[in-house]
Amino acid sequence: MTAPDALRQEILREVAEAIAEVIGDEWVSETPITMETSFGQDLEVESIELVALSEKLQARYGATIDFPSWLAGMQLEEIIALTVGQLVEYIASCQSK
Amino acid sequence: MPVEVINGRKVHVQVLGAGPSVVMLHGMMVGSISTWYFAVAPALATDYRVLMYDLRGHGMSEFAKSGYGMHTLAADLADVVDSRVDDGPFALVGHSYGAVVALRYALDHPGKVRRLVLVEPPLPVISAEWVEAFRSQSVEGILSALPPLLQAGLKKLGKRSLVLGAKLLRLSTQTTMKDDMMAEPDIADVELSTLTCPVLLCSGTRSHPVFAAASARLMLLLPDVRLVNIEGGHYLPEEAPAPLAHAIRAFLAD
Repeated sequence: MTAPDALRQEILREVAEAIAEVIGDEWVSETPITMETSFGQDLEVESIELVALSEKLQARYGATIDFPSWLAGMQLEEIIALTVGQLVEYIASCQSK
Repeated sequence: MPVEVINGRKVHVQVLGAGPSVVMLHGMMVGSISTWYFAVAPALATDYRVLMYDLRGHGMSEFAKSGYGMHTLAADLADVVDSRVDDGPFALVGHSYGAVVALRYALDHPGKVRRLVLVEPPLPVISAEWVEAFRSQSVEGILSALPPLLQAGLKKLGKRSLVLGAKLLRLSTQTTMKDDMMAEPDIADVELSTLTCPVLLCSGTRSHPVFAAASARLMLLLPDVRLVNIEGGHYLPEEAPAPLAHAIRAFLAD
């Protein structure tokens, strides 16, 4: 099921905020965050920053999401290619359950 | 809060799951909480309280110019355990140099560790992977010794990768890490033979021979030890998380 656009936009805004808090506004201003932005290629997010992001998302969305387990189910190549859009869809799907 | 002040130092701590405590230590230089957080830890967190922290100078813990020897890092571990683990004997898991620190802690604190898991321990630590890696002749050689996720980041050599590179360079050139490790290169055979808790050794089939040699030595000396060989290189937590988690789960439940 695809989440309604308004919900997706709201989650995208919140995820983008969390990313900016983790990696710093100066990087985000160079790389605007969209659904297509990739964590590895575009944002060059370090794995320890993903841990910090995970914590922020958990604080925001609570037990409805399980970011570590979600990533644990992926192959390394998938994590490297992971996009912001995939994360937004994951959060949206958890919320609509 | 994830970054806590423990014994006067800022330490980045993360906990997943609930149940009997399992403490997990990452390796030197390129390791951090993320070594475990996105791979093996979630698989354990269904039945255990998994506590991870960044070693001094690593990840989001406080930078430190010195104190990278195994005794100091084991004392740091004792500080974390004393403040964050209160359910009695716990399981302790370490990767690479983190495994040596875990072993040092278990020897220093008899009765505290219920089960000990050593993933790719270097012992003596003079041959530690980062020394090998950074002595390598080519950029490709250095890159190939790093964890896959980091390789992918560094190969791009974008602006933020350079920041990461600068952090690694600071650890290797502006701290006493190498000297600290060289000053305490080994644990004596006679001491190893006194360890009482059950130990699981996890060895990567394609890792550098120095790690296989260390495992062979520990197999001979530790009183209660079993070995599992897992398809992969030195960075098993990233390269083979599912088989590694399976082996650890089986050992902890045994």
